[in-house]
Amino acid sequence: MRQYIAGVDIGNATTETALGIVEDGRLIECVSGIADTTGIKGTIENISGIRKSMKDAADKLHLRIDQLDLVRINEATPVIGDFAMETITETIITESTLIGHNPDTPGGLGIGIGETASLKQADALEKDKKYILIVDDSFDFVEVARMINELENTGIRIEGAIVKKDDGVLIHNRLSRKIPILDEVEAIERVPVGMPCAVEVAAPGQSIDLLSNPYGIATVFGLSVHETRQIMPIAKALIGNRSAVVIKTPAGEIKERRIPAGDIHINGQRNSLKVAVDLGAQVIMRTVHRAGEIKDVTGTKGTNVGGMLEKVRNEMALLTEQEAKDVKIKDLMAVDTIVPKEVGGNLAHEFSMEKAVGIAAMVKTHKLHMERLANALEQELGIKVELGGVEGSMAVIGALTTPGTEKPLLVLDIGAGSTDACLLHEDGSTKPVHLAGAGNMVTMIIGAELGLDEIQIAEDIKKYPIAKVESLYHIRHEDGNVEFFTEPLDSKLFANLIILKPEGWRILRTKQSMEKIRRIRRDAKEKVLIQNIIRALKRVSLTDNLNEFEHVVLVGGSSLDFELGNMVTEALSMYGIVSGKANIRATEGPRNAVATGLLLHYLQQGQGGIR
Amino acid sequence: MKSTEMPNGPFIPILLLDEGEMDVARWVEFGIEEEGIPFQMMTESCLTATLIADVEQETNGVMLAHQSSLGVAVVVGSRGIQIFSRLRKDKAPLLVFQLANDGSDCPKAKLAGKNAARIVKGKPMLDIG
Repeated sequence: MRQYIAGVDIGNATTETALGIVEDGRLIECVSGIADTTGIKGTIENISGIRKSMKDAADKLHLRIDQLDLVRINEATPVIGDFAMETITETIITESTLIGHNPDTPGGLGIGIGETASLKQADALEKDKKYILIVDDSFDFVEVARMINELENTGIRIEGAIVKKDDGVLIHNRLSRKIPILDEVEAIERVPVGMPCAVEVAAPGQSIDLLSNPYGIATVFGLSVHETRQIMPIAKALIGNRSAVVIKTPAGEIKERRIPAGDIHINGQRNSLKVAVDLGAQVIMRTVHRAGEIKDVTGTKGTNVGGMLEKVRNEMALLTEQEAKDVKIKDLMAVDTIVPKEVGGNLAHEFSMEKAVGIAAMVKTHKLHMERLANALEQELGIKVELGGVEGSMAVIGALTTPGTEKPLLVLDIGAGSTDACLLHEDGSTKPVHLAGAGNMVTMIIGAELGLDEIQIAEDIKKYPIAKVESLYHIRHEDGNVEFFTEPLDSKLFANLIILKPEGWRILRTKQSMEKIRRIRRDAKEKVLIQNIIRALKRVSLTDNLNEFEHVVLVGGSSLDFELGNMVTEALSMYGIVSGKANIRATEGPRNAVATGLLLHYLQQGQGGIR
Repeated sequence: MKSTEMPNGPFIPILLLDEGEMDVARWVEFGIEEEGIPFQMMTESCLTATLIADVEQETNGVMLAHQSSLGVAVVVGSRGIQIFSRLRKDKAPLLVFQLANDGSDCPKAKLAGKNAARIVKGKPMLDIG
């Protein structure tokens, strides 16, 4: 007897189908289908996506959907993950004290020290005094240079200039005595007049030396020990700049302070513990470990983390039609990061690198309403629909079709919100675990560390390699390889970094180097994904010894990440674990594991297995 | 390549084809100067008649770029500001900026000059709008 059986896996992003021709209980042929998931996983809105995915598969066998005999859908794992970030340090300037930005073309070279004075009040300047001129955009560069030269001729010493327009070099080239000039200072009107000031411009290819050194600033302004300690954040914020200005104001104050980021309360099997977020990720993760298996987690109200924990709880409550108080957070992951934050009270969008903690949470509850979805689907299609099995268990059955795998096998599915793992023991029993922290957290860290405004750019950086357009005919890939083209590239791409998206290159407008972006991207994946894989292995391990595992395979869409497979293989090789991307049915790559598992599970039930 | 009277040395040649656009050409100069790259303004009298004719006909503006040791040339004339680069193997200009004959031309010309210099420096070009 010939039957057409479909296994359908409804995921958060895609709905995948494995459609098999079964003859007398044996699988004759199997094809795959895929479509975007419509609606939130586990809801009636999924039906449209299921239809599309099934049609995609059925078309390959020249079948209509109504010719199918049975559809088996997954018992979706009721897991939702989310993340938040708390910046735990900040630099604040009260009054105007610091300009430390990096205009492309500052003028001159060296250091100038004097009292700030507006060029508009040039008539009031005194002979034999040293000044740093403040120049707004009402002057053109020829006029500025002429006025400075005239002032110098009358015995007034102009030691440097702070200019609003991008005219630093133009002014410098027209001066009879050369001075350092910092240009492109947008908030020029906020630069205080009559204050001691130092301007420093380094040679091209070099960074400032004096003003990025706290003792250098102390020397310039004659600071006390206490004052030197206070200006430490200024020096730190100026490191690496080609030009900078520091102005000493009487009431001016720079603070690097810790922001109270609230507490996390972890109610665990062994202990109930509280940890302050601003202590950092290592302390938080140690506390999570000490608490034992997590029963629930709450956070201080009014903080980002507190808000995120309640949001994820409420989302799950809505999805499962439960009271929010009955939904429990079952895992927490914290990652330390350093993010560029605009300095409070800045004059030219100065940034300071601040410490931050990224926190991901995972909530798990009882079954989603998949029965309801199965019944609705059966009515809609007019064919029998059944719940085939738990997602994790089906994934391992599907993953075992990867050539070179055997039991015991650990299958990892890195999703957007959570990392799911399932261990298949030799006796066929399974142990699933669900961990907080996954793809979305990696995106958040990349976006935060690069200071990106648009999250989609961070998502693209996570997913695709980058390259630099070095000429109109060639690009240099991030691994150093060069690719040549016979037709000229768009001149807008010239000298830019690009993200090599399959559907077309995207310009990455940033001053960061290709090497730094690549490092941040790989570090984020290492900090979240690789660490989570190791956590998953420890959770399912009986002995807390990772060497007990032999095979780990990655399944799901995120395994298609262009570098993750190799990163996992590299990381787990030191434990003697064979790991890599799955190749479901030796043809599908890491996709279709659950759908294939649903189909094979049906055969195993009837025929005692096909492998 | 036809012979020219182009001086030796590393600079971006700015060829002014229309004396009426002198102001625009000057602002192109300022843009290049701000980026710290040498430049030299040239008028028709500096170059051979054949080369001028080629440039005017937009058939060989890139020749100027080839003759510049920095590989970039700017032509200012009735067609606006054209930036040529020897990076481009065909004869088309790399960038063209139309002039509006209003107050926006000078800042635009300065940015065009900066972009010409940034091609030499291998830096991303600025958005002129």
